[in-house]
Amino acid sequence: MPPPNTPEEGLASPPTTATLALRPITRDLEMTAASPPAVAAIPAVDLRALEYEGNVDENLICPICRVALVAPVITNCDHVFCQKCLVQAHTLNPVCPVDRQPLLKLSAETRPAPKLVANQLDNLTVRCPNRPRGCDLVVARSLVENHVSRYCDKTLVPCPHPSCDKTIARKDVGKGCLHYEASCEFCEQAVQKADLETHRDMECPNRKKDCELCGAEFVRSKQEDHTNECPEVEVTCKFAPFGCHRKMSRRHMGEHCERCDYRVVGPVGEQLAELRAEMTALKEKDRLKDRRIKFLENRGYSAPAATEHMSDISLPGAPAAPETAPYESRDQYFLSLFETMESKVERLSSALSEVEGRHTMMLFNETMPLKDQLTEIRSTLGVLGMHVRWLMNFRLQERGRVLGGSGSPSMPGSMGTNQEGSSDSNLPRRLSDNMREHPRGYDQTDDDQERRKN
Amino acid sequence: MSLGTKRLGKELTKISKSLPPGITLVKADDLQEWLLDIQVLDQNPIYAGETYRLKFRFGKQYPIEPPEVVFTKQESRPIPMHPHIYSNGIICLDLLGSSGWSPVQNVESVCMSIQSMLTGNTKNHRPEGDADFVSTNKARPKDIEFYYHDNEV
Repeated sequence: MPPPNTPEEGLASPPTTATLALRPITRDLEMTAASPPAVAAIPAVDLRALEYEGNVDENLICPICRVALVAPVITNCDHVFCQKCLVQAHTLNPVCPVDRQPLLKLSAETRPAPKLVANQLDNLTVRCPNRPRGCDLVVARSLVENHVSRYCDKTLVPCPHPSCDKTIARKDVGKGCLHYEASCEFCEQAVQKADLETHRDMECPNRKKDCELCGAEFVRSKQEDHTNECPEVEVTCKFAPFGCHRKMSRRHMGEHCERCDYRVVGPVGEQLAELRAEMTALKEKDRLKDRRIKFLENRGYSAPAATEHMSDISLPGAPAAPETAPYESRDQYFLSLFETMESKVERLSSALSEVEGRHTMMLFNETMPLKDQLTEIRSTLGVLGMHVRWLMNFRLQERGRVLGGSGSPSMPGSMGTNQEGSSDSNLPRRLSDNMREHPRGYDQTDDDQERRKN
Repeated sequence: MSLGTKRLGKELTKISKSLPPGITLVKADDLQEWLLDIQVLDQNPIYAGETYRLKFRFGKQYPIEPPEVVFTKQESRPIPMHPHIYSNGIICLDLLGSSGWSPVQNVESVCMSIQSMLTGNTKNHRPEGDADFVSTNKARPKDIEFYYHDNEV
């Protein structure tokens, strides 16, 4: 099984049962057919150029290109190759490259390799081909194409500027066209703005700098990171908040901290700070409670009015405010307003669900008898159908007897019986038709058919 | 990168790590021409104590098409005596012709085939018409239509 996908990935990831069998053949077609527009978009991932994480099982390596198989096919002599490799080798020499068994017609003598092989290949983990540009992702091979074409922000995509035909990393697309010369701040070399970051971190001859304090080499643009860990940078004692004013290099700080006079005070101070924080939190809580209590007290007065006009959604507006005046501030007034609204919404939603429930019940109650009636009608129909059939049979038998009796039936005579028959047979039919409330035209045509049959 | 250069790169990393006994990599600066030395390891009196130099040239179509493999002559690297090896170093081996080649072969396997071809040889002479061939042949080894007149060697 391929590894679990996210829903979007699932849509685009190739190894689904249905598409897999077709993949070896269709992929090449797609590539040739779609190549002109593909140049403008993101180039497809070359699965052969990928770097595999760890060793690939020798059995999964194509004997021709010596890379993990891509779109594997198996010959009738049980040798597996990449489809593309085998096609290439076949044009030169129409034999199996391994055992030289003749392969006259490639399509007839090869078939896609078993799903098991394809799955194993899909599960191989590869590094994102954008690794040189900084993407460190390691992902199943089946997902790498999707990652590169959709998600990897290091993928080169066409520059958003309409008149610029260069490519740019996806993450910089929002910054407009970055294809102009900019000079590197460290080496004064002119570099394309889009490449500046890579240049600064990977290529610039002056990118490395020796730390003035500790002598260690680091990348200039990572100055901040280095400062945070340089052993020679002067830092303040970690007990500074409790009164220690000593400053020294980070290297000695550990030692100092063990002997710092404030180390006893430190933990107590920390606890104190903790307690203080707790207290502020509690105070805040208390304030909120107070407000709520006040609000509830106020509501006590306005409550009867509110419950009476349950359906009235209008604001307990300005006129109400002066009566229930004792709000301390505007904020509190709005807060109370908000809370009133909230309770109203609550009531409305409960009412709504009640109504919904009632409606469901009603619908249910109405549909049940309808269903019963329908079954009843259906059974009646069945019975009537039986009757009609019986009558028809009866009629036919009778007619047969009449024909046999007269020996030479004349045309008009037979017509007459027919007419009679049809009008007679109308009788039960009509009944059923009335039951079904068919339009008149319908049984007319029915009768015509009946006549023609006779 | 084309199929060929990628595969050659892989082969190179492999053979620079390990090669069968009697075969050593001499020079592989690029992916077009490699030099390898081979020795015949058993006590065949024709080749005992000698080292021969093979030159591989890879076309754009490698490994679909065979590489061009010849012996090259140098001071301490003679051309081995063999009824299928001309004195200009051209090797008459079906494996190296378009019809006998298979993309499954690689530099290592070709070296081993040549090694075993020498090992099994007992005839200490050049192919028939060697002098003529050497003086008249201008074609590249790959394009020569060899007539494999004996298959027992």
